[in-house]
Amino acid sequence: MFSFIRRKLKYLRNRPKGPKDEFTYSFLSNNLRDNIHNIQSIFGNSADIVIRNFTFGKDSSYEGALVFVDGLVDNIFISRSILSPLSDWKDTLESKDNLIEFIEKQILQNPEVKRLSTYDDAISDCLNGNTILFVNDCDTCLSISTKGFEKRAVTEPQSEAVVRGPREGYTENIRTNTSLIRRKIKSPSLRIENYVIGEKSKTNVALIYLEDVVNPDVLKKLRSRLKRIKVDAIFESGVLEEYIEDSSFSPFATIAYSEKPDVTAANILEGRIAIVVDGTPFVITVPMLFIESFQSAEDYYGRNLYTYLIRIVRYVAYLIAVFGPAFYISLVNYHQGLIPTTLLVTIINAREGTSFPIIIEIIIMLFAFEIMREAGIRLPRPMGQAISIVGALIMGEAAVNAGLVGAPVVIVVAITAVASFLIPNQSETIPVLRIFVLILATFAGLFGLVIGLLAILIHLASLTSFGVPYFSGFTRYNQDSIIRTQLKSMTKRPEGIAKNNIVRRGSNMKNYSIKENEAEDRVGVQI
Amino acid sequence: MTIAETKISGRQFMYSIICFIQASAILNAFISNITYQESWLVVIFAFIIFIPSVFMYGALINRFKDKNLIQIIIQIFGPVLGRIISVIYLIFFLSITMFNITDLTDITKTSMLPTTPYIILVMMCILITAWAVRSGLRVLTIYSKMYVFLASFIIILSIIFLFNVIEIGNLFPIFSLPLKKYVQGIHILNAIPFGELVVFLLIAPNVQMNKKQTYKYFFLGASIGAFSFFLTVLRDISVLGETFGMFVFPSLVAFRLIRITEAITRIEILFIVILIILLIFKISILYYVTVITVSQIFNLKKYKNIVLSVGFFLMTAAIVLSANSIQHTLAAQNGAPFIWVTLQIIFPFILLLISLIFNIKSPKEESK
Amino acid sequence: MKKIFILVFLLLCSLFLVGCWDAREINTLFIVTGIAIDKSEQEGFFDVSVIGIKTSPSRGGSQSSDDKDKKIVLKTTTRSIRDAFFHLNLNYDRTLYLQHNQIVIFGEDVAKDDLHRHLEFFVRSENSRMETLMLIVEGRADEVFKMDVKQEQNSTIYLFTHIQTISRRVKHYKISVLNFIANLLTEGFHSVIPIFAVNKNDDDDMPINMTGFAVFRNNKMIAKITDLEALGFVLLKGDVKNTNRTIISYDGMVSFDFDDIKTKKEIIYKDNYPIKIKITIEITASVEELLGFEKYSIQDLNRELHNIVQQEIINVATQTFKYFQELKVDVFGIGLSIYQHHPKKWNNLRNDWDNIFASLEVEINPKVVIKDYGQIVSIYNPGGVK
Repeated sequence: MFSFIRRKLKYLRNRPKGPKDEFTYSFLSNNLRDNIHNIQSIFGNSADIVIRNFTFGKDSSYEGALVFVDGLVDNIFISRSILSPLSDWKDTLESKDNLIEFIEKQILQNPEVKRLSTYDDAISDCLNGNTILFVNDCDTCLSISTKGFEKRAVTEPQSEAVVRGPREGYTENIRTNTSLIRRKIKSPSLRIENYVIGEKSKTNVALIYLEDVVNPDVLKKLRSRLKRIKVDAIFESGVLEEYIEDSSFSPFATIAYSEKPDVTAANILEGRIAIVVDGTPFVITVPMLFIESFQSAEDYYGRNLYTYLIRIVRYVAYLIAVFGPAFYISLVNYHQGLIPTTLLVTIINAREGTSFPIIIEIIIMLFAFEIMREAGIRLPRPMGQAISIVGALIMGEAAVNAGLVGAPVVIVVAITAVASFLIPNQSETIPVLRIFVLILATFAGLFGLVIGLLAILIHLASLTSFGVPYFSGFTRYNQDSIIRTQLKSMTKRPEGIAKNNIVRRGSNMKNYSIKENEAEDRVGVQI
Repeated sequence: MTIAETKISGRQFMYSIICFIQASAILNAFISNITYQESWLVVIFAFIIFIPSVFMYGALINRFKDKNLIQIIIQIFGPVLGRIISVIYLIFFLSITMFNITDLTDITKTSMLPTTPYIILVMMCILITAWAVRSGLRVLTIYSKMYVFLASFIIILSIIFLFNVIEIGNLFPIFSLPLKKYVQGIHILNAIPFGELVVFLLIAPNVQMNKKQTYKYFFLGASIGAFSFFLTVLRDISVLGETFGMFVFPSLVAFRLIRITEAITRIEILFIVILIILLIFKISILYYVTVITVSQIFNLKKYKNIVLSVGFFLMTAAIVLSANSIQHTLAAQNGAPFIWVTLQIIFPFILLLISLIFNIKSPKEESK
Repeated sequence: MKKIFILVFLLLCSLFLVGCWDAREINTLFIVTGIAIDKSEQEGFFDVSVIGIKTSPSRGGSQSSDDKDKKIVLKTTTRSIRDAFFHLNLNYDRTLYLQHNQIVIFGEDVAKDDLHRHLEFFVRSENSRMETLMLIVEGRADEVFKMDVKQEQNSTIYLFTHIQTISRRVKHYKISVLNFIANLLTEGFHSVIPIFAVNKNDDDDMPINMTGFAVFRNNKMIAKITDLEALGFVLLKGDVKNTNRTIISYDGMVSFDFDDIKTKKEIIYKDNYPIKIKITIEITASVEELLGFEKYSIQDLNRELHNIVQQEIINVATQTFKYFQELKVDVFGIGLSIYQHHPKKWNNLRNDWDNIFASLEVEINPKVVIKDYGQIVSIYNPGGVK
């Protein structure tokens, strides 16, 4: 049954999408009028396509036309850098053959000019915000970079706020984003590869990696997977993620995302590959390890000892978030002996007034929490806060007073919910696992919980992210997993991710206070 | 070749062995009512007697680097006779897997789910182990290190928490029983926790280690495992005293006595849960070995296809053959060890002897 | 991947077959905190009473139940303990939950008859706890449930807390069902269990008093030891944190705290038979109260007190040992230590141990160190100055 559904899905994904565009790879003609006509017919008189005909040269002997998309280009820039130099040129050439070359090399003052010879390239450049210059009697055209559309400035990221650390976040513009990364890693071995994905959307996608660190196997896999994508549109890196990840049925995300260039840069330095998608401020990195979810940028900017503590807190919080309700239900329904007698009496007292089985209570509360969370996220911020207050204070209190749920359940669900906020990267995994374990625990108590735990562990162990075992890092490499060691002794890149350049740096940085004290001692002896 | 593609490291192999023995430690009832408070002595003697077998296994692994036990048998005895002997091994593996499944369900029923039907527990156990077995040897053994640490942790923790009820006097007197009892105890221990290590002969070809490491890891694994078995028995005897021989699961009773302040008592379940994880690990190793044996006998290309079939057979067998705890212990004491020891120790020794006499090796080119 | 989904699917299906066999909503449970077992008037039958905590709905954490009705007592008369729980479950709306049972109380009559037959269930059943404390009550055990406790939720929790508190000083007060069974199985060793009496006096709020120890020969109670013998028992048994003794001598009165009592037993053999037991009792004593002794200087006082306490220990211990020799029960584990260290010799003694024990010679050898005199260094006598 499953295979049938999957085959059906596969078919739906890969079926042919309408007739192929006819202008593909057809070459430009010599005649300006034909070219313009063809362009017009391809665009079908779209309102935002501007075609500006003009003449130039001595006695206006040459004809030309500019084609651009209104809104994607900087109009003033066009007139200043293309039109005015052309109209200022009052000369003539002996041969018309090298006119276009002459214009490209001597007249235009733009930094980025390309010569194109097919409609396909011309159209796609035009749609990317370039201006296309056609000249009569030439079978090539010029694509001139005149991008100038509205874009958001670099601001502090919304989803990853930090107390200490850089506050810049990605924007929707791919160039800005790549430049943000380039500014962090000024190494010549930083490579940026461009891909265009999406039959209709023609989204620009850039791979960024360090040539000498990256694992070539991963890179090969990633390239082939990107090339295999045939879809209409990619609007967000999350869409791309689903197309290229190893197992999209798994509840675990095997591709990491970030909104902060410093996080991406650190990941690239460890040998990962960043994928920047035009139009979204979320940059994804592959391959991802499970432990990455528990690392945060501030772990490296803050005091080392404190990060020991905060890492452990995160792991405990993760366990609570996944197993909290299941553990509670197995205690209360199966192993009442484990609860201290006085606490048990209190819990029974709370349960006496309610009528639903405890599992129903927990499901009601978990459901209510998900509703409130969703409402809080989607609504504008002031209203979201109001919802939280109504939800947390009024509903929690009222539900207990009305005898709908017992107070302990409210506490359990609340702590579970708060705990899951500590690991934002796993926030889409936790609820799924929580329900899975909850069902098992409801039916078989702690035994069920253990079976659930083992199931999760087995699944985690068999997961891979671009061929790299997802759950590695705990077993093989311990410099930055359960605890973050001192930066001075963090000398190796994660194994499996960086294959050929494991050593981050030499371990010549000892503890300075000791070194200097030794020096002082020596001085003391000499004197 | 039907052996799994992936290779595991020697260390993981060692941790698996430790874990395998630690999982048996909870089931120390099979000697507790034979040698009573002297069981700890018997554990020491049994292990000393077992040491030559460890090196015998190591030698066998080193002589046949790329072959597992069944393949060795088939190579030495030829395809027909070899297969017949392999079927005996298959029955042996099936029966120890079954016994362990029964043990798991027994302890679950005694400690936490007394009225849940047998079939459900067996089914859940089979399904989860089937999943693990299907995922391959790497996934199967990846957590062995973690399990070893967990098991050692609970042994140490329980000793700390039970410190105020431990009576060293309970370990005495020594050498007060008739000699026959010691022999019986040593025999049983050599068959049940230690002799079961023969299953690692089927995993060994998938382990990356050189000749020296084979001995090192096998011996280290067996001795650390035996040491934790010894600690468990020591703890249970010193805590329970004369009642040690009375219970089906002495460790469970010992855990029951843990009391951390007045509020945190009755926490034996938390300890048992970890032991259940260990037992599931042991069962999955045995299950894997059974599946490998089946696929080897029938010369199958992929072992993964028969995992669930073997699982359902195991499930049915475990349910049909499940007996009450007294019958189970009697079987473990009187019936099984005599047949098992033949397969666990004597037969591999014969194999080694034959291969030495006729100079059979594998791979053949490795003759220096 | 597909196969794994089938596996998960099957896993979940198998769960639905479970049908929550062992799940119990906690508000359908009756939390038993104490069990009392008495002899019934009918021959061969027993009165089994069970006490539990009454729970009542509370909203927002405020406890609405009033103090008077916090306990529920159930009672039945049956042949065996399991039967009793079966009857009670049949006749009460909630299921009896034994995991939280704190204490098992036996009436004196039951204890004199056969204690073991009532304990078998607690050791065998996985629903009950074998580390439950046990004690004997003078008269009928179910009277304990009738008493009114002011401090705790019901009388058994009171008793449990009480025993926990006192056993922190003398661990021999705490005997669990498992301990008792282990003692029964151990060779050359007999148990004692603390014995309590319900206080019928209405003047104070102490509902129950500890009166001493019940002495068992195997599974039968044969005697009671009172206060003084209890002290002797504690001294001879050793391994005690703290106890106290007030001695009135010719010169005045002194009250000692005995800390860290350690007892060593040395057996002296002759012809394979132990003829003499040398018991060394090491005690760290501290003076807590001192009246009189005016005529002593500080140096003399120390010596004098030392003598007094040594003599007292010898007296009490010898007396107690004699008492147990008369009873012919070895509660100090002398036989056990022979068994543990000289199993071959024990084989000869085993069958006649009670008589051999009765005829043993004993030498008490106290080693007392007076460590502390409190905050006062001088001997003062307010009466004498004026």
